[in-house]
Order: sequence, then C-alpha cells, then structure tokens
Amino acid sequence: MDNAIENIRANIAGLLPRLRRFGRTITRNAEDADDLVQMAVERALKRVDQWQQGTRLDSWIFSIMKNAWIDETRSRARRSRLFAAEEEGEQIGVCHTEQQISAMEVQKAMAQLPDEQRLAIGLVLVEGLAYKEAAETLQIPIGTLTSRLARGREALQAILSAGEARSKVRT
Amino acid sequence: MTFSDEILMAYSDGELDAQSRAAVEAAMTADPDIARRVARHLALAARVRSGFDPVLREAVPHRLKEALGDASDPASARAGTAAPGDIAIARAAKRARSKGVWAWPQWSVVAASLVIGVMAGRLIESGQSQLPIAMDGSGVVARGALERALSTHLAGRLAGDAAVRIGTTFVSKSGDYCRTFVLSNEVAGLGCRTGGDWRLPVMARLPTGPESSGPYRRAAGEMPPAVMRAVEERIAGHALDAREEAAALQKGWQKE
Repeated sequence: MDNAIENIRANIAGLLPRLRRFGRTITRNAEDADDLVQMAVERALKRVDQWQQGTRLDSWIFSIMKNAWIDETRSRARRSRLFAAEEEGEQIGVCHTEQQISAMEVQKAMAQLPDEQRLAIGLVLVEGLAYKEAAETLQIPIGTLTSRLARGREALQAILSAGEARSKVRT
Repeated sequence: MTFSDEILMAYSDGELDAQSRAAVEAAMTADPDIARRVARHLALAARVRSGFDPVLREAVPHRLKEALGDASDPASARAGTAAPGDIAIARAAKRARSKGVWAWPQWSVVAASLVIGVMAGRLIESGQSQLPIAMDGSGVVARGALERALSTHLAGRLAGDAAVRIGTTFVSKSGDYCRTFVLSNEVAGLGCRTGGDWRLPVMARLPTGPESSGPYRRAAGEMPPAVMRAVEERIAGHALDAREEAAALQKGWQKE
C-alpha cells in the first residue's frame, strides 16, 4: 500500500510541470497558478484512495484543480478581491524575444475569456486531452465541451487578429 | 460538400474517425476555403500551445515539491534550483523572484534552446524564432523554423531542428518549386515558393492521437491523402532527385 502511494507521489512529481501549465491556462497569473497546483496536490494526496487505478492521473488532478479554482473564484467574488491585474505592468518590461512577446499575447488573450472556455481550451489545445477525456474531467457533456471550445477559439482568434492588425499599423 | 466549423475543428484536433477524416481531406483538396479554415484552426491551436509551453521549462517551485512530501527530490538538484532548508526563506525567495520576472524566471537558461509549440506539436530551434506560420490576406505562409527548413534543408536530412522534415521537392505546373514537409510528426503540408515566400496551400493532421505518437514513430514519406492530392494536382513532370534538389536550393529556389 505504502508502495502504491509512493508510486503515485512519484507520478505526480513528474506531472508538476504540466499541472503548472494547466494552472496558468485557467488562472490569470503565475502566483495563483502555483497556489492552485499546491492546493490540488495536497488534496490529491489526501484523497489518493479516490483515484481509480487505470484511469488517467493527470485528468484526475486537473479535475481537482478545476473544482478548487471554481471554489476560489466564488470566494474571491464574495470578498471582491481581484488579483489578476496587479502584476500586469511588470510583465511587459521583461519580454525580449519575439517568442516571449508572442507567448505573452496568447496568455493575455486567454485571460480575457470566461473560465469555462479557458478550461476547455487548456485541456484540449494545451494539454492535448481528447474531447471525451476533457468532458469527463470537467464533468460536462461532450457537446457542451465542443461548443465552449468553438466559442473560445473564435474569441481568441478575434483577439489575436486584432492585436496583429494593430502591430501592423505600428510598423 | 460543406462542413460545419465544428467538424473542421474536430478534424484539426484529431478527433475524427478515419472515414470522416478522409471526407474532410477530400473537401480540403477540392475547396481551398476549407483548407484555409483547417489551417486556421491548426495555426490557432499551435499558437495557443506555444503561449503556454514555456511554463514547462520553468523550475518547479520548491514549495510544490514539498507539498508532495519530497524535499530531497533529485530533479530539483538537477535543475540547479536552490533548496532552502526553511519554508520562510523559500517563500521570501519566491516573492522576490515573482517581482518583475513574472513568467520567465528561467529564461536565460532556456534561451540557448528555445522550445516552441508547433502545429500542436513541438519544434526545437535555436536563435531568433517565430511561430512557424502566419496568415496574410491570401492564405498561409511559412515563417520561422518552417520557412528556414523549407529554404535550407534537403530531403530526409535532419538538420538542427529535427522537428521539420522535408519530403518531396518538385516543380509545379506554374513553374514554382514546391516541397512537402512534416512538422513535429503531427502535421503534414505542402509549401510552394511564390514571390519570395513559402505559401502553404494545404496542411493536414497526421492520423495519430496526441498521446499515442512517439517522437519518430512515423515512417518517412507517409503523407495524408489531402497532401498527396495537392501534390498530384500541382506536379509537372517528376519529383526532383537529390542532385536537382541541391541545385535548386543553391539557386535560392528561383524559377527556372
């Protein structure tokens, strides 16, 4: 039994970079993302017995993160505290390469989408889950997933194209 | 035949069965507009992924490893991160780092080998980098590492960025050079040299799920039907042999 838990621990350790990336897609800043990963990892370890052998460990933790994030945003709304915008001014100055700027544009565009679209895009486009797996992780019907995905994509496309049009005018 | 955007989206996400996939690819070859819409989905997916991939290469904060009850993780030593013995120190360090260095604490380490997501896959390249494709008014053009590979790689040769593999080179009926390519083992396409750019009339997803594809499992030369048909439609004569290909590359892909 101890051995099994050690195994899961090791597997979660291997997943940490991806959990952080998923955290970044669903929260709007790095600090929140890591807080969320930490919370999810602690919860996962406490409830290890709820994970079903043979199912995807990453999906299971993603769903814990999703639930934790929804709880968090609700309680923040109650306290009406806003974290996301605080660091925004500092991000610009440290971007150098075209690569970084491009990544930043994507992250900013994502930040404008509603939670439900960010979750769908994060799981399918960023984490590479199949529609069925993503729908199960989010506990929604597959049709709901695909329509959120489609709407999210459309919105992102619009935001990013508008950004490109602006930068063309500048140069 | 018309396809809803949801079907084209599902195609670009690798969600269709073989039969529907073939139907979409047939439509892509018949209708440039459908090909463009698919390319748009693939491009957006690649762009979104590349926007978050840098997170994978950041050092995992110590507190997350601690949350796993694993403070002596050898990976943390390998990544060269300090392992403060005291949580308060770790927190303070984290606070200090997060000021002004938001998402890129490791950037200097990463800069030597920037890794970007490409066409729902990954492409490794060095130096200045861009996304591999861009849209303009009339379609999709190659940029960054893909543009470089189309311009400078010979078929089958895996140069610096092995993520782009060049297949066949031929002269099209309009006299332009065209080359097939595979990106990250996930997306195949055709690039044709027109007006100093490599235009991409077709791109198609290779039929593998995101989880099932090993890095170089796919046999060379295996192209989706949509790409094959695009080649057949355009090719004038035969594919270039290695000598002709090298000569065309030397001349900078100028028309005959």
